[in-house]
Amino acid sequence: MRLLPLQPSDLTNRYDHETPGEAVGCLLTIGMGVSVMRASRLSHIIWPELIHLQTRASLIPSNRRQQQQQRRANHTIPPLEFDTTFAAAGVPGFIGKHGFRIAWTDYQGLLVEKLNELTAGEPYENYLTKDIALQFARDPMSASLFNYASMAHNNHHFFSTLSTHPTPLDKEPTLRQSLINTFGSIETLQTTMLDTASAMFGPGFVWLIWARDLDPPAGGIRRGAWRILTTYLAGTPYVEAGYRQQGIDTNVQNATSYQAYKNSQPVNTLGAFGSYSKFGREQAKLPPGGTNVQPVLCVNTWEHVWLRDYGIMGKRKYLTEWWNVIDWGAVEQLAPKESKGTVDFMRF
Amino acid sequence: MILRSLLLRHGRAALPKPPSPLRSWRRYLASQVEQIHTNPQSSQNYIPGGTSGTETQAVSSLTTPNPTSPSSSHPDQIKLDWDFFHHQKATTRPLGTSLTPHYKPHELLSNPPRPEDITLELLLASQAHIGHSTSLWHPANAKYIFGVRGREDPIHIISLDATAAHLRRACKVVRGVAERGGLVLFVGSREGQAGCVVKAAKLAGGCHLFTKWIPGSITNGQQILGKCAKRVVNHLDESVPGFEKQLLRRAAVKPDLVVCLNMLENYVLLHECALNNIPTVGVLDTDCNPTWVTYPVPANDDSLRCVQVIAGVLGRAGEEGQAERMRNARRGDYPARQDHGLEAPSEEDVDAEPLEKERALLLAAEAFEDDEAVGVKEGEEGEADHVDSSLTGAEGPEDDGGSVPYERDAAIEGGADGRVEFSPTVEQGSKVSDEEEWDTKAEQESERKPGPGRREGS
Repeated sequence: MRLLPLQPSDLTNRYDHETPGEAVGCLLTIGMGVSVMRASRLSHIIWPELIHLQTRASLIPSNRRQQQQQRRANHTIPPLEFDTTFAAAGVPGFIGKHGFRIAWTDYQGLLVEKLNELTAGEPYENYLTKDIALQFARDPMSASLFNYASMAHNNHHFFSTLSTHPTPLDKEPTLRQSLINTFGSIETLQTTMLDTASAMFGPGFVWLIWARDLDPPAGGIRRGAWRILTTYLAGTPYVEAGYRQQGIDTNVQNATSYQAYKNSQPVNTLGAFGSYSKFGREQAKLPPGGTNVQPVLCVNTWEHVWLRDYGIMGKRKYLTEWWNVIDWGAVEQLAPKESKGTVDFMRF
Repeated sequence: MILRSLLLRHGRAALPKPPSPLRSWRRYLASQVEQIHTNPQSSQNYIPGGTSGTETQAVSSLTTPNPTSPSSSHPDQIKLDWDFFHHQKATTRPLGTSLTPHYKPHELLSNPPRPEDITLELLLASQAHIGHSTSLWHPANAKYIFGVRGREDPIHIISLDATAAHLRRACKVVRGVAERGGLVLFVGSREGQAGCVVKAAKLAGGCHLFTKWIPGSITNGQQILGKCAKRVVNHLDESVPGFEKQLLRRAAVKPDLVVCLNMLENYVLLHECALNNIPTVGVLDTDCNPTWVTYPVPANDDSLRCVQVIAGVLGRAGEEGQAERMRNARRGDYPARQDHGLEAPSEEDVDAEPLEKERALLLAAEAFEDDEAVGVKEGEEGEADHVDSSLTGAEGPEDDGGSVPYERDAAIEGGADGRVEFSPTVEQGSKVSDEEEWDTKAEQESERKPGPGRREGS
């Protein structure tokens, strides 16, 4: 620890607007970084020789400094149900306390800090993280903002399905049966999901989502199915983030079929507002061909999550351990009602 | 995410294969699984048409989904979509970061603050302390002013502890009035104040006004508000029928307390209230006259946020008073002495519904017209079968003679058979044969008609 010397040019009456506590703050260099220790921590120590030292804070004009101090953080790290236990002892059977500190406390703190920096003073400074991600998903000038928002959302989703005492899937029979209806067996689901995650090159997320069908059968109720979805880096699984207003896959179309598709699109608009109006068509929330999804489970394949506990070769083992610690009770809470069996309505 | 049909894109090779010995090294399962199967009969078949589906079948599901008309979809589909949407919203929107509580303008109307939420920070953030230019002030409210801000064009700063104290007092007044069954009128005629005025009145069970106050609505209430609807309610706020006739004679109910959000524009209203001993609460800016209202609340009336906070807080106080009154009323604790001057309704008033009465009258009128037409055609053969008793006027639903002249038609002459002979001739002047007869006739007329003096017996 070393203290910076006072510069003669700085002997001005700059402490007019400062509280006595601030005047005692000093600049400390610790190892790799530089951190400014607030006076509140040093107030119990009387260092008269430090009162005249140059402070990092005093280099900034006083009115701007007050503005910075008065700006409160809009975003803060969200609480997890077991974050104090995880911080003390790690996620049992999965990652240790240092790994949890890196993957959650430090990383989510970084995302929150960046989000605060990027949204400060903007009209969207009080938007929820998911809303920021969806709004700026296809805005190339706000790619950084989208990345941090989407990553914060995905990371929180990943940690929300971890628990100190996870509920096994056998205790959730309706969810279990619903998964078997789609995948045939739970082993298939596990294999598919972990193989997909293992095959992904580079960081990302693998999601288990409930996807609703586009059109219900005639006179019937809309169906859906479980699907496994991959998103790379900080991609988001929600379809509202996409902008491809194209209802067909042009890789498998020829000129005739594409023309038929274009002709099938209505050219007129109807009404001043609503989904058929000009404004409504432009503001379509779901791109054609997209469906509404509810993500219930995800695995984070970013290296910083598993590197400390499993090493660079340990991705497969990390995925296997993750499957064993999934809290299926939390997954069941996230799963929509229509995915867990038939829904009955009371008729009066 | 766009659905891609694996079948179209990659062909059958893309579908999940059953496990083969070559791939067995990737299996790390405890139990032996015979084969991976997809159930084509299941409702969760995500490949349209199944693995043996045709290309057009798969493509058709990927075209633009037009919103299906409600008539063609299942009646429960809307409910299911609603449930899914709200579940998705509730579970996924909070994920990511925690947002610190911040100001949302619509919450002042949808969830107004309560009297216990009155803090100096809230009032400061709502710009309640900002007064007008010092040259425009009213010296009588000097005691509410904290100081002056600015060198050029200085303005007065209203003291927020005075604001808080006076606002809390006003809350007590509103709560007390509502607790005793009083009527509170919220008035705010500036642009944008309509929302908070209506909300406050709704909470306090009172009345609202967000347009110009018509001068004389209280002092000349019989004229201006004579035709407005009135009703009688019991201690549980349920309508009591049978008083409609009595209410026709009465003027509109005067409020027991008036809350005015812009005092300068509503001088006439406040003056009328003072003339009629109606207490008033007003938002007092630095240029307002504090003697115009009974309970001033020194605050900034030009800031919509400040006005919405004050109206919301007073509305909440009224809501508490109403709740207290209902609690007491259900227990049976309500004031027995009522100074409304209404008489208990007679049995006919209570039994006959006004709608039925009107219907009966209409039917009678129609029947009368039919009968009259029949009478003219058939001559002297007057059928009396379909004559309604109300035509004679002998047994009317209201026995009052002449108190409300338009309510009941005059008795029809003609007797029980219902036949009326109209004599269209007008007496233009009777030819007098003898002077004697004329004199006697005049005497008889003067005896019959009362003098031009005042009527006896009201």
